Amino acid sequence: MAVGAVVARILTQYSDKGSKQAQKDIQKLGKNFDQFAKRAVRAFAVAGAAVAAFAVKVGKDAVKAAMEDQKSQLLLANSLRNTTGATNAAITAVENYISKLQVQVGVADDELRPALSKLAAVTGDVAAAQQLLGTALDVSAFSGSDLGTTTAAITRALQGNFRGLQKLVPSLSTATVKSKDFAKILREVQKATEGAAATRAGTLEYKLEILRIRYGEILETLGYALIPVIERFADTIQKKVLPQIEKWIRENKDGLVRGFETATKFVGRLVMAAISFSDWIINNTGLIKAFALLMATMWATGKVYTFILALRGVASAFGLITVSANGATAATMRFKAAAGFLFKFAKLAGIFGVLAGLQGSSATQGGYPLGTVGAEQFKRTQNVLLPIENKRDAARAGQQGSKPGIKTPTVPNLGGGLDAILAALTKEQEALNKAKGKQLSIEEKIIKAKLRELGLTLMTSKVEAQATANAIEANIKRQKKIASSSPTVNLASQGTGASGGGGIVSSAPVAPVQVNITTPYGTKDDFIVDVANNLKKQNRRRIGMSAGGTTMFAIE
Amino acid sequence: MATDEVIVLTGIKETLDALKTFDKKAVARFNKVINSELATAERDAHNIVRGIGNGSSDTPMSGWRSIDPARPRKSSRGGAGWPAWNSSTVVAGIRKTKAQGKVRGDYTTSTGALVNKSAAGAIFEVAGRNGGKRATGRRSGDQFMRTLSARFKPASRSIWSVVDRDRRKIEQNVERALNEAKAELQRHLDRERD
Repeated sequence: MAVGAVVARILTQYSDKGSKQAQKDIQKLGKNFDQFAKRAVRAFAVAGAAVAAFAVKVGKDAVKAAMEDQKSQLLLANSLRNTTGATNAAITAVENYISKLQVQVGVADDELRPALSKLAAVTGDVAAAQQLLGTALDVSAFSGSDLGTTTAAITRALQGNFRGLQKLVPSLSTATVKSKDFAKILREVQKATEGAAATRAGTLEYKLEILRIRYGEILETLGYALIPVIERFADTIQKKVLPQIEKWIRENKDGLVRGFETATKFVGRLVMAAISFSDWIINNTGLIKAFALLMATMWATGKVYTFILALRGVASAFGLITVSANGATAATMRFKAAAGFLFKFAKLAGIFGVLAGLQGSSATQGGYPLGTVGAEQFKRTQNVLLPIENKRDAARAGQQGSKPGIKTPTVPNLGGGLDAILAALTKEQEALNKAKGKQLSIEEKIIKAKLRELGLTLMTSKVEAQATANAIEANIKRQKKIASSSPTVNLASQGTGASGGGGIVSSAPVAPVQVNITTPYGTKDDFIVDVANNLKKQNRRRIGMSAGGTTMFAIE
Repeated sequence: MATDEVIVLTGIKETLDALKTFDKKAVARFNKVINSELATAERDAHNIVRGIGNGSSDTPMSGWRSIDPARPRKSSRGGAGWPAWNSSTVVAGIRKTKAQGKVRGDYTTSTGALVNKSAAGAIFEVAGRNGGKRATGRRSGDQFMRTLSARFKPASRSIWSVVDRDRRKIEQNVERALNEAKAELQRHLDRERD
C-alpha cells in the first residue's frame, strides 16, 4: 500500500496474526509474572530471613547497648550522689543534658558520662562540671585528642597541674600558666578553643557519628524494652532450673562420692596389679595415660558438672569390679572401654558444657547420661562382655561349690585381687595361644591333606613319642605272649565246607569255627590293619602256605 | 446498522484455499464479486475526479496550476512545492487494492480498499479535514479550503466519498458472496464425507 497516500478501506477481515502475537505476548507476560512471582518469593524469603537475622542482631545489640548504657548511667548517678550530693531530679536533668549534648557534639554518652563524673568529683558541683565538660569538648575538638585525655588534663589543671592542658592548647601562654590562676587559664583556653566542638560536629564525619549515636539511642530504647524479658528469663533460670540441678546433685552426691571412692580404690588396685605385671603395662600404656589425662582434665577444668559427670563415669565403670572381682579380665576390658570413653571425654573437655546440660536428667545408662558417648560405649561393652562374664562366673561358682547361676560377689583383697587378675590374664593368654595353635597355616593344611591322601601320618615329635610308647607297650605284650599258647580266634562263619581256606564270610548258619592262628610270635592285633563293615581286615602271614590273601574275620 | 459499524469478514483465506480444491469456479466467482465491487467504487471515484473542472480547465479551482512549479516554494510540501493538478494523474492515482497492509490493534486488516496516491488528489481529498482543530488566526490556506469545501463539499471528496456512500453495500455484497462460498465449501465437504 502506498506510503503517504490516502487509503479508504472498504472491506475488513479478521487477522489472526495480531491475535497470535497477542497470545504470545500474554504467555510471555504470564511467564514474566511467574518469574516475577518466583523471584519475588525468593526475594521476600531472603529479605524475610535477612530481616529476621537483622532483628535478632538488633535485639542483641539493643540489649547489649542498653545494658552498657544502664551501667554507665548508674555509675554516673552514683558518682554524682557521692561527690556532689545530687538529687534524683538533678541526676535526671544531667541525663537529659547528656542526651542532648551527645547529639549536638557527636560524642557518645558513654564518653560524656565518665568525663562529667570525673569533673564533678573534682569540682564538687554539677553545674561547674557541666561547664568544664563543654570546655573539655572544645579542647578535644581543637587538639584532636579524645575526651578522656582532655578531661584528665582539665582535672589535673584544677588540681594545679597545667602541663597537660598546655600541651593540648599550645597557645596557652607560659605567663598565664605560671600565674596558676585556673580561672584565668580557663578563660584563655576557652578563648582559644571556643566553638571547636560545634564546628567539628558540623563536619560530615561527625554528622555520621551523630547518626550513629541516634541509632544507638534507638537501640538502647529497644534494649530497655527487652531487658525485662531477659531479666525474667534469667530469673526463671535462677529460680527454677538451677534449683532442680542443685537438688539432683544434693540427692546424688553421697552415692557419687561412695562410687568414686570405691572406684578410685579399685582403680588403684588395678593399676598396682598392672604395674606388677610388666606385659600388661606395656600393652596398656595408652590406657593408663588416658586415665591420668582424665584425672588431670577433671581438676583442670574446675567445672562442677564436669567433675561430677566424670565421677559418675568412673564410679559406674569401675564399680562393676566390686560385683565380679574374679572377672578381672572382663573388668580390665571394661576398664579399658570406660577409659577409652573417658579419654575421649577428656579430649572433648570443650563440650563439657553440653554434657553438663544433661546433668538435670536422671536417666542414665551405666552411670552415663543417656545419649552420651559413655552410655553407648557402656551398652556395647555390656552386650559383648556380660554373656562371657556370666559363663565364667557360673563356671567358677561350680568350681567353688557355689550354687550354679548365682554370682558370688567377692570383695577382693589386694593379694586376692592380684592373684585373680594374674590367673585370669594367664588363662586368657593360654586360650589365646590355643586359639592361635588351631590356626594352621595354609602350608600346613596342604601338607596334612597330602599325607592323608597318601595314608601317611605327619611325624611330629608328639606323634613320634606316641608311636614309641605304643611300640614299647606292644613289645611288652608280645613278650608276654611268647610264653603262652597260641591264641584262638572264633570265626562267625567260614563258608560252607571251608576249613580256613580264605573264603568270604557268609551269613549261613554254620557253627562257629575256632581257628588257631599259627604263629607263636604274634597276636591277632598284629594283623589287624583296618576296619570295614564292622569287620577287621587282616593280612594273614604266610606260614608254609601259598600266598595268602586278605581274609575278613569277625572280631571275637 | 449504524454508519460507523464495520462488517469484519472472517475466514476468507481459509475458505478460498479449501474451496480451491473442490471448485475453482466458485473461488473465481467470489473474487469477481470483490473485484467488481472495488472496481465499481474505483470507477465512481474516477468519475468524481473527472467531473471536476469546467470547460476551460479541469482544475478544481482556477488558480490551481496544471503544471509543476519551476521554482517551488520551499515552505510547501517540504520544498516540493504545490502539486500541479492533472486529472489524468489524479485518476491514475486512484486505485483499488486488496493488499492487507498491517494488522491493526483490533486484529483486523484490509481486504479491499481505494488508494489515492497522487499528491494533488490527496490534497483534494482531505484538504480542510483537520481545519477545525488548527490554531487560531488567519492562515494562508484558509481561503483555499473554504473555497474547496464550498465548491466540492467538505473533506473526503473523492475516494472517501465513494467509500462512505457505498461501503455498506459493498460489504454486504462481499459478505453474501463469502457466505455463498462457505456454503459451497460446506456442500463439497459434506459430499466428500458422504
